[in-house]
Amino acid sequence: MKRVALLAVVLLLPVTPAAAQDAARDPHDLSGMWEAERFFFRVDDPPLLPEAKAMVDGYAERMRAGQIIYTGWTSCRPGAANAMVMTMNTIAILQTADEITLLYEEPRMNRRIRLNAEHPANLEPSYLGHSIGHWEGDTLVVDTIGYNGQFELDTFGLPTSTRMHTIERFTPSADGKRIDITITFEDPEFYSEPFSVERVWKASEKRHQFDYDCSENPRAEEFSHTYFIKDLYRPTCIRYEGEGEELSKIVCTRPDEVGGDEAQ
Amino acid sequence: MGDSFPDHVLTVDGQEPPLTAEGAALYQANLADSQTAQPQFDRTRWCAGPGMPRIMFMPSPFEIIVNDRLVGFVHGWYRWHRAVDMSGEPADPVLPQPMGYPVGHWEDDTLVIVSNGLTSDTIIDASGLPHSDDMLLEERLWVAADGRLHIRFRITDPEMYSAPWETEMTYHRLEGVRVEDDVCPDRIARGEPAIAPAGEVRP
Repeated sequence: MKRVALLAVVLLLPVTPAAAQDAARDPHDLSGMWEAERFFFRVDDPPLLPEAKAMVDGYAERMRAGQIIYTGWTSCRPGAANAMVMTMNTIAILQTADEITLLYEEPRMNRRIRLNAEHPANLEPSYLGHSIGHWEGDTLVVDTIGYNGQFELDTFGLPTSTRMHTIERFTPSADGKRIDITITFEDPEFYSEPFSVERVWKASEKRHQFDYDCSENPRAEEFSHTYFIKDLYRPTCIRYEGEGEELSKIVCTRPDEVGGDEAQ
Repeated sequence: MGDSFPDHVLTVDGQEPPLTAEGAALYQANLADSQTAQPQFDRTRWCAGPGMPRIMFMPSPFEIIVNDRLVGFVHGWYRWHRAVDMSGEPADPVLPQPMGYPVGHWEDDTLVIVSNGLTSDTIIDASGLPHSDDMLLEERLWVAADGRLHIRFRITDPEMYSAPWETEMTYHRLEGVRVEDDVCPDRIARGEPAIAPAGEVRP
């Protein structure tokens, strides 16, 4: 075995020598390239509390009127629960003895799942929350808390709060070609009871991930008919198209320097 | 974490990279643009990806995770990452993109990564050294006896540079530190720079 000596921050060694999708793979080895079987952009029939339902219905009304609804996802700051609901394309999984790292292509995101660990007592709320995992038979169970409530679950603006708790159950198939995933969401701030969605990831033959670069082109015309669910989602930088020989230009201005809600 | 964070990289001999006339003109334009109120040459200002190799010169930590099929680089700047393909097959780029299409192999204890398909929308360093879509980037990574990670970068880009050139960086281990989530749009919304000054980086 090569002397694996590379490391800028932390050296993490593979648990098993098995390639990701070998037939004789270790069922507890999820490493390799995976691909979402299909893209979902909404959660069907979530058990919204009345106030939350009124809020989401309001977004739908704006959409019917032709507005773009800007969420945490579209403002380039999605949360981990977004990736659970709406992952597109590939997910590269890297695995070590005490951690599983998921590199999501879109939304671009790096999630860390600490194996056989506990949540810390005083979590600082974050977009990704804090994830711990353990194996129940051949199912990886991932428990995540510590969300910051600054993103929506789907493109229709389903709200999340700091009280959200998610449980993901990843069950790889015996041949290592597929992972069935059940995600259960619990958030008493906005939902009357827990609810679940099902997703499937397939072993991917792709060798490279697409660099999803959400911030690269903040086009002014997109913001001209946009409703921002949170003020935080207002763009700081906007691309203005040049006229004639004038080049297009990206201008950055802090939202609190702009003021008003003219974009709504 | 880098031992240094050069805004402008030089060759291993301490020389300026050998820009072609086209490359020099583009670099001069970038230098002039850097003096304006809203520079356009540096896309990190609006949180777009710095790309390779620039992200390796920035004052943010990164982790390397070595698996058999993939070697992962998890960066501490706005959720960027690279999954280096270790299949042994040559890269097959589709559209140029910030991190390119990296393929790796081991030469004894040295990891060699070759990337193509690196978009010319990005720059090589913060000063604005340009590259074309056809740049070929080779990285050689090894750990020296003192525990420091060395990376030798070799840039081959006949459109922008008259000859291949190399630069080298060293990195030190941060014991017990993990790369945490970093969300650039929140930072610039607070009026902070997209790339935090070296002394203010919080892994």
